[in-house]
Amino acid sequence: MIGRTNAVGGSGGTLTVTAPAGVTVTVTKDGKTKTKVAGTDGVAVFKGLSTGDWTVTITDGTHTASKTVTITLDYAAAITFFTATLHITYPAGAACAVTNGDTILTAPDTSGIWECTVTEPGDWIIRYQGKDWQTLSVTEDKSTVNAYPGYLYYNGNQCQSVTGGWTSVSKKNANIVFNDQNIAIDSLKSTDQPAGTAFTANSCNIAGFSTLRADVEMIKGYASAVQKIEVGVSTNEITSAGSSGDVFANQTSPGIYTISADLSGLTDTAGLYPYFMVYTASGELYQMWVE
Amino acid sequence: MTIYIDNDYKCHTASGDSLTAIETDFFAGKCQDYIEGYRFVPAGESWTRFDGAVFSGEMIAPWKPWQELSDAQAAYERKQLAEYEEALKIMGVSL
Repeated sequence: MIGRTNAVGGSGGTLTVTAPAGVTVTVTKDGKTKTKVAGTDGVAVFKGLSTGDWTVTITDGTHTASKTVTITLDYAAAITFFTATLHITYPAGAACAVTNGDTILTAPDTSGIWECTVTEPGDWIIRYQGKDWQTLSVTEDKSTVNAYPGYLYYNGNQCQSVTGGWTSVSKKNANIVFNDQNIAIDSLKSTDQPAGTAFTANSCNIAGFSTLRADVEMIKGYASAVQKIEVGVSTNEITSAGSSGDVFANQTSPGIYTISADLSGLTDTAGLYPYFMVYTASGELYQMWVE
Repeated sequence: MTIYIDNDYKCHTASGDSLTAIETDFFAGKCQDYIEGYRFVPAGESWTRFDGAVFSGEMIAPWKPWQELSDAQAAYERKQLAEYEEALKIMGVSL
């Protein structure tokens, strides 16, 4: 904060700048520059300033912030550094970046976890594998915002901004539960071949991605001739359980799998409904993503 | 129905040299152009895409642009419907 004080003796206004202790404070107007270092109390005082618009800049050598202050006689203004953290989880091995239109920040590695610090509020676009994935609105200083680019489902997180959430349909009383960490489907028996399908409520714009992958587990099968656990996409909204989509891959024995389906024939198709299906078996979905 | 796959797992509607017969219900009602635009990787086998991505069977996916296959199927169904309507007309059955 900058306190307003009465000018006493001398000419011009007094500008008292409150900023982080030790930063360099510069005021500039019409080619005139004055520089001070903010004291341990975070205050730097500039006297004898003419009326008008002065640019106040603070820097600690790494970060810089500026604002314009209009001096009538004495004037008060606040200036501070803005930081927020984008906690970004993305499929390991992929490329990830964020941009607000002026600044582009790139993930330092392809580990799949990125604690990204942004120093300006506003809309930040997350780019996954070079494509715009979602926009985050960052407004609060010192806030943390979570994002999961590339993912359609992540350990209980339904990736709502892309999928609209997940929903389900059951055949012959198969049990479907949306747990904190997974989606669980259990046919409970073999009679009548019960099945359950969980799918995205909205069609997803995943055009341009060539592979669908999912981490799943078939816990138990009830009929070896027909049991399966399957992931895929449908070009139409899903209305019944147990039917395969237009692209799919499945496994038919108990076990933990990363199932992959080739989407390269659908890269020009914008609206697709990803799904997870369990047919006459018990199984769980942990993660689903595109590459 | 029976389809046939080649050594690149592309589907065919007629048998031939080096083709493997596969029984599947996935293509029931689908026209030749639709079927032959798909790839079928049987369970226990795997296919490697040109970029190195590996896909384990059972996996079914189009290798031609899906919209082309969908348009071909729609044209096939319109033709079939027209033929049924013509046949019913000949039989004197009014719709």
